Amino acid sequence: MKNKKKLALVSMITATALSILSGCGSSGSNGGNEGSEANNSDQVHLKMAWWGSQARHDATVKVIELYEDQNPNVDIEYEFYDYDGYYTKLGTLAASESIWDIVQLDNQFPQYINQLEPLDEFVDNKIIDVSNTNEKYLSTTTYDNKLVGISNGVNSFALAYNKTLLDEAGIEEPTDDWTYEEFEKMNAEIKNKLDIYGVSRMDDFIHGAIMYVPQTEKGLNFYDKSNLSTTLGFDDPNILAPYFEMRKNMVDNGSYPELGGIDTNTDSAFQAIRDRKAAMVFIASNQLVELMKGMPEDQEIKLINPPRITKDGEAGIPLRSSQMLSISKNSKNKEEAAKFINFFQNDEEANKILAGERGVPIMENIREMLIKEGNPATLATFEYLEKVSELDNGEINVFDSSLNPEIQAQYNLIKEKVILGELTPNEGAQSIFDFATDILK
Amino acid sequence: MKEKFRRFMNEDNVVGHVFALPFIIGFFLITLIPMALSLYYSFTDYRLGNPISWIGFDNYTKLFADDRFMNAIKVTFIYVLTSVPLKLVFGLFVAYLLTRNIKGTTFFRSLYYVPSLIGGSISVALVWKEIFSKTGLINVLLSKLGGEPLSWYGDQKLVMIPLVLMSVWQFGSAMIIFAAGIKEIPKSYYEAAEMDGANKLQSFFHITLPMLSPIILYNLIMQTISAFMTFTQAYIITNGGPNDATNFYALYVYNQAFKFNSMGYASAISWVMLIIMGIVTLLIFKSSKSWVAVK
Amino acid sequence: MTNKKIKKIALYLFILILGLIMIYPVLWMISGSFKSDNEILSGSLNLIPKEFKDGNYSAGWAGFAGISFFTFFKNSFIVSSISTIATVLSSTCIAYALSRIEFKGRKFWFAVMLVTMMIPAQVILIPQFLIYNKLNLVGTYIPLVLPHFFGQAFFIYQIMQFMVSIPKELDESAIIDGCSKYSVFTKIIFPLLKPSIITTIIIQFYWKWDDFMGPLIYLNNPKTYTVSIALKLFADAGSSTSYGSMFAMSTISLIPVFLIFLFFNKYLVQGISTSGLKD
Repeated sequence: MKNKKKLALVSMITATALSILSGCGSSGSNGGNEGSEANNSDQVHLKMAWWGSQARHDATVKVIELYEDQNPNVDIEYEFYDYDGYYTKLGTLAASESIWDIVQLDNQFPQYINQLEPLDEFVDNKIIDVSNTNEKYLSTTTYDNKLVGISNGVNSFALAYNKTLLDEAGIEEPTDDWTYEEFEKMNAEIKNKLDIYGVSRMDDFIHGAIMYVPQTEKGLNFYDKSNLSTTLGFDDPNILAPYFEMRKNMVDNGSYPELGGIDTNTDSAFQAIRDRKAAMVFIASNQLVELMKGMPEDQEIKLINPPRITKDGEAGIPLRSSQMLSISKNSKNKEEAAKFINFFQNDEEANKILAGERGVPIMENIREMLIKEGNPATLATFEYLEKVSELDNGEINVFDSSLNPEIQAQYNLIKEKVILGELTPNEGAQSIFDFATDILK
Repeated sequence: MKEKFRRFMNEDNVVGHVFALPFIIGFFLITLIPMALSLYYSFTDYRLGNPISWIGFDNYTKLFADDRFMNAIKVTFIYVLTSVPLKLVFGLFVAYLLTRNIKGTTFFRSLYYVPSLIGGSISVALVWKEIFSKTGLINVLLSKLGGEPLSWYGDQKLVMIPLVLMSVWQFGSAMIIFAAGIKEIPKSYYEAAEMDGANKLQSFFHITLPMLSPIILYNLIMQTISAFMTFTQAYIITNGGPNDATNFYALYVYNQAFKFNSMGYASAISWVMLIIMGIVTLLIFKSSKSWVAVK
Repeated sequence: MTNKKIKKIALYLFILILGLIMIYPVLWMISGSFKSDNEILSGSLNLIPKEFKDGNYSAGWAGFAGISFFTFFKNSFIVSSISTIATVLSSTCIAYALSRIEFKGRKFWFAVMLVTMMIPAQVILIPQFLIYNKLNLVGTYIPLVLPHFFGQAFFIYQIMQFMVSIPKELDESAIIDGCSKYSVFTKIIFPLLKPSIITTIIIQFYWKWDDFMGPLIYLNNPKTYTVSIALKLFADAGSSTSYGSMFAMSTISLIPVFLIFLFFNKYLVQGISTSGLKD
């Protein structure tokens, strides 16, 4: 009968489809969380993930294959995503306690601290070799007296400025000890003389909170360093007001883009520099290479540390880990994961491939190797970080609270309200102070 | 025995359940259980990767005091109340136009339908974002017409416009359904009206609209529900700004769940919105008794 | 010129201009696929690129870490096709029950179906993930495809309306001839649903194609990624967005749209008959 045949056909197709599907997806990834079960015989399976750009994905996979060649008993299943996608996925995996064995994390890691395995033991028994680095670099990933990861590269904050443009306007270059007052004046001058933005983008939370509080007084921090950022590290809300005021002034006089403009993402902010529509931009030092892509050859771009409050005051600038590799607490192959991390950070051939794209490597031999390779943007970044290393007073808290995303989002919202005139700078400062105090309880 | 079985299987009750079985099973397996879990989460403080702790109604009291949430409801309603009627009116208008005798109606109907098909993609959202940027197409057109470029994404009062327009741009889905409905209205009705001396406008209001009212209801429900759930455009184009002017509730839920890691609170917000949407839908259905023509 | 002719010209003009507006964003995207990222970011509106750059297609096609877009397109095609077929099969059955069969609980399940359309995906994402994880199905395509075997509310409702336009007399005469209610479905109803099914296929295929949340959460191995994730990978917030590559690959994604245009044009309106839209 026609119907029976149809039904049979449909069921067959469905059954085949389902079996293809369950085979298809799992052939490479061993299903859900079986991946890192304890090895039968010699085969070790590790799972690893990271976020980044196309270039980073290509390079990282090459390094993984290099490691697998040298260690045939190890099979690494990898995944990669864009930044937002990565953290969405990480959240879901954290919910089921099945985070990847080797996980890349940035300053958001405190949210997942319960899922991380400290690495001190592996350093102690030399599985992870730290002889080529020093305490200062290791401290950027030491949290609550435990080494929670090995940094993929340190970075810090800077302003990149177009020297050629400043020369054309007859404006003097900024100096290391320049203040926010001088910064504001310089931007107004750029606007008046050249009719372009002074700066295309600033990371307001970092400038106005994370750096501003330590700049006010040595020992003060936005998040309290002594208790792992579980409370605020200052008690006078008014500290935050001047930055809000400056930001509002800059938008009002046209030296900074208005809301919703080119400062909403790095792409357009960087392009504005290339197009000479702005003279300066905030960058994390490892973004310099990105900024220089497509930069017209006749424009000279230099780095300067962010401004401070008073000429003789604190620089407020820390050396941070841009991101690190950590090991999951639930990993069944922690030692093998540690071995890979050791390779990733120490092996010269691997790092030739990675090319310091994630940040300035913490291992001295790797840095020297990259210097020999001679990419000018990389060299400029290294030099800058050496300067920062000297300016870093060691008291600055480089770790955020686990509630930082929410606090930062609220800070930016308040900032927008101040710029729109809905709140005065002091009201804004009080508001964010209260908000942060409240949710950190 | 076999006969009894056959009769049993052919009872309406059984047939209905057999054919509806996929939905019923699916509902229990992949909808009801997750929904129950999310309801449970809404009474907890749950941060992914950390232990769950019961906090009773705290999330719910929190959300009534949460300015950002109240604002999210407000802007979502504004979006729904502007985009849905505009979309329906425009869809109906164009559907009506295309029923005239013009060459290429099928081509244009499909053309107008394309935006609805591809509107959910990231690339299209990015293109739309660019069109309304300071130096984008719209501002260029404005300057050519003698106006000033506007800061679409920087002005709280303006920012809803690009998003509403993007929604209206996708009127194709509503239009197609209206077009089908208009086609089905018997020509004889119009002919009779013409003989009675009615003009085109009168025919439209006294014949077309009433005949289409069930379809208008269907479109109204579907478009309203989908407008309430708008996420991708706000996420990609404005990220909720400026100053939360486009912080649609779906975006707020996403941020709470995945950016702020507050799964419990996000769940509470979702349940409140679900109830609100349910009430709105119910109201629409109830009101339909007075304006929808039943055959 | 007569009044009538002026009106007609105005009508044509309106329709043409509207068509252009409708299609402009797509044209811009296609032209962007031939521009350099710098040109795209500089906000150039031209539909003709300043410098024609065909490198975007090869750069984009190269994909990530040695996995070319061919793989991603293949994966998307598999997932979308199977989902679509599943949706069609299940939704027609369910629509048949809800609109043709008087059974206990019919009104209840109809209401439930409507409510399921209002559930925000984000919030049942985690609970669903946990369930699939327990069943060891994460990393496969099953979580992506399985829901479609249970019907999709949007299409169920739409097919329900269309079904009402199929005269009940056909059912009745078939039953008199000895058909069971089951054969009525397979022999009579289902074949007559063809236009509605084609509309369902067109819409469901594309919705599935563009969905990135599901693949992001449930797929692990990059070799299994779909086009939607891959496109999103071009927009990494930590580094720069490769607009050129993204637009290039998105343009290729549009090819099925054009094919639909060619072959299924006329079904789009046919498929949504509404003669019986009533509660």
